Amino acid sequence: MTKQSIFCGVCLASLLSQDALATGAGSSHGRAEVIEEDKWEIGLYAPLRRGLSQDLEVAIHPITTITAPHVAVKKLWKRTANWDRATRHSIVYPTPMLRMLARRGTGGILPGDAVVPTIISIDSRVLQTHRLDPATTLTLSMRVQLGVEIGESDWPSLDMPIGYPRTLAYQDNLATAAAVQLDGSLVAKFSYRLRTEFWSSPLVPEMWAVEGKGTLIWRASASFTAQLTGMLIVGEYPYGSDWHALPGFDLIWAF
Amino acid sequence: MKRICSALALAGFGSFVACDATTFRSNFENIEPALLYEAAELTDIPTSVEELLVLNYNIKYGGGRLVFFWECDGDRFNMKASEVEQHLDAIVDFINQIQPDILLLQEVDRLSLRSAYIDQVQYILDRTHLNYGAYASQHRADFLPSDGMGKLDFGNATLSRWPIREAQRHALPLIDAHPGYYRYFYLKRHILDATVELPGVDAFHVVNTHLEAFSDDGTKKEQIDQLHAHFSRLGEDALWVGGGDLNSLPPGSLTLKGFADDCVSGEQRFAGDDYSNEEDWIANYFSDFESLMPLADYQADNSKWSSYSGDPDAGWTRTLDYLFSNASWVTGEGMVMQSKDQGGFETIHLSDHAPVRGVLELGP
Repeated sequence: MTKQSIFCGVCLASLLSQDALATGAGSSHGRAEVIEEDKWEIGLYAPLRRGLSQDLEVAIHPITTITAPHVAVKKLWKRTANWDRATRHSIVYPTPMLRMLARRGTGGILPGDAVVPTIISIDSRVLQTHRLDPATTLTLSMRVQLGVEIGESDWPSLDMPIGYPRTLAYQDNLATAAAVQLDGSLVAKFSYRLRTEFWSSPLVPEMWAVEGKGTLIWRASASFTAQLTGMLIVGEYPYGSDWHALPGFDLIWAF
Repeated sequence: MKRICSALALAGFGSFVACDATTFRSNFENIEPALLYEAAELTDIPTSVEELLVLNYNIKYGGGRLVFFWECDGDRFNMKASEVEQHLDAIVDFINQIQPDILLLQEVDRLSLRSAYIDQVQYILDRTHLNYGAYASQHRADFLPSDGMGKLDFGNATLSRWPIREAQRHALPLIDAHPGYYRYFYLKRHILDATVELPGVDAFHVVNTHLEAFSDDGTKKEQIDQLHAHFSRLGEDALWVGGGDLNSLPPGSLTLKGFADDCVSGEQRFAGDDYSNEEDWIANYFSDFESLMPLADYQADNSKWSSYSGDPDAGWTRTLDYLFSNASWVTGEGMVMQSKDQGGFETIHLSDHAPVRGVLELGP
C-alpha cells in the first residue's frame, strides 16, 4: 500500500470520524460545553480544539485540513444551573481531498475518472445539555448540513456507513440530523457515553440512517483519555437498506 | 503508556477484523449456502426431460465491450444504469433465442456500484424463460477501497428452468503470495454446486466455477485439482454437469503466450497471459470426464473452440471456457458460439467471452 494511499485513508477516516468516533472524555464534544479558555485538546482522530474564551471554542483537524480545509466554532450562549445551550458552526471545502481520493489502484476511494467539482459545505448545530445529576448529562442536538457544487460534477456518492449521510449534502444540498447523547460515570476513572443520531434529508426522502454508539471512556488523568467505541448503523443507501457494526477507538490529550 | 497504546491499538484492530461479518463482509466460510433466486413470474416447467441444453457464459458483469481500467489502455470505471441495461438486454435477447435449460454464468454482478447496483441475476431471470437461480460471490466487499469500486459483489450464478433444491458455495484456495490486506479484499474463488430438481433424476448437480487467472504460486493448479476432485466425488452417486471459466488452456494448444489480443503498445494492469508450463494442467479432465469439447477436435483446430478475446478486433484467441459431465454429450451439438457462422450469433460484442453450448443426454 503506498504512502499516498495511507494518507488518503487517514484523511477520510479523520474527516468522517470527527463526529462519529472521536468523542473525547473530559472534552466538550457532543455537548453544549466548550473547553476552557487557553486550553488545547487533540486526539488521534479527534480534532484539535482550542478554547478561545470561556464561551467560545474553535476546532480543526490538523491532518484533514491539508486536503479538506475546514474550521468549526462552538459558542456557548446560555448557562444555567441545570442546562447549557450552544451552537456549533463549521465550513469545509472537501474538493481537494475528494479529488485526491479519486485515483486508480489501492486507495482509490473514488474512481479515477470521477469529476469532482468545487464543493462548499456548511454545518450548523444547536446543542442543549441538561445536568440530570452531578455525574450525568443528557444532550439533545439538531443539525443542518448544506452543500453546494460549483461546476461539472460526475462522482459517485460514498455509499458506506458514517460516510454516506455526512457527504450527502455535497451532492444533494441538504442533510439533517437529530441526536440524543447521555454521558455518565461508571466506576473509578471509567465513564460512558451513549449516543443515537438520526439522519435524514428532506431532498432525498428515501435516505435515512440511525447511528447508535456506545463508548467506554477511561480518563487516565486530567490530560489523557482513552476510549473504545462500538457503533451500530442502520440505514438506507442507494443500493438498499443495510446495517453495519463498527468498532472504534481514540486517544485524546489535553494540555 | 506504551503498553496501554499497544493494547488499545490491538483491541481496535482485533475487533475490526473480528467484525468482518458486520463491516466489509469480504470473507466466506469453507462451505456455505449460496443465495437462491426465483423469477418474478414463473414459466412452465417441462415435466420430462431426455435432453438438456446447457449453456456456459462469462458475461463480464454486463460490461459489454467497454474498456475498463484493468484492460489495455482502459479508462472506464463505473457504468451508468442505461449502459448496464443495454448490455444485459443484448445478453437476454441471446439467451431467449437459445432457450437453454441450464445456464452457467460467470462474472455476474449483484448490488455493485460499478454496475449501477443492478442485480444481474434477478434481471436475467425476470426477462428469460429461466425460473430459478443460485448465486455465490467470488469478490465481495461492502466498500472496496480500490479504483473507486466501492460496494462490490460479483460471482457465479446458475440458472435453471427447474427448482434448485439447494446450492452451496465451496471455497477454493486463496493466493498465498498476496499480502494479508490485499488477500482480504481480493477475489475469492469458489465452486458453486447447485442441486436441480430435474424430473426423473434423483440428484442432478450443476457445478459452476471461475478459476484463478493470475497466480505464480501454484494456487491455480490447486484450484484445478480441487474442482477435479469435486467432479469425481459427485460422480460416485449423482449425475452432474459442470464447467465455467477455468482460465486454462487445453492440452494441445498451439499458442501459449503472445496472443493476438495481448496489450502490446498500451498500458494494462496485468501482464499478458502466459500458459507455458501449464499445458497439461487440465489434461485429466478430458480423460476422466465427458468433455463437451472433444480433445481430438480441439487439437485438429484450436481456433474453432476459442472462447475468449480481450480485443474484439483480434477475434477469439484462446479456449478458457468448458463444460464437462458424467453423462454423454450429444455429438455435433457442442460448440463455442463465436459468430453467425459458428453458432448463429455475433457474440463478440456481448462480452469478452463467448458462450459455450452443449446438449446432454439424459434419456432412458
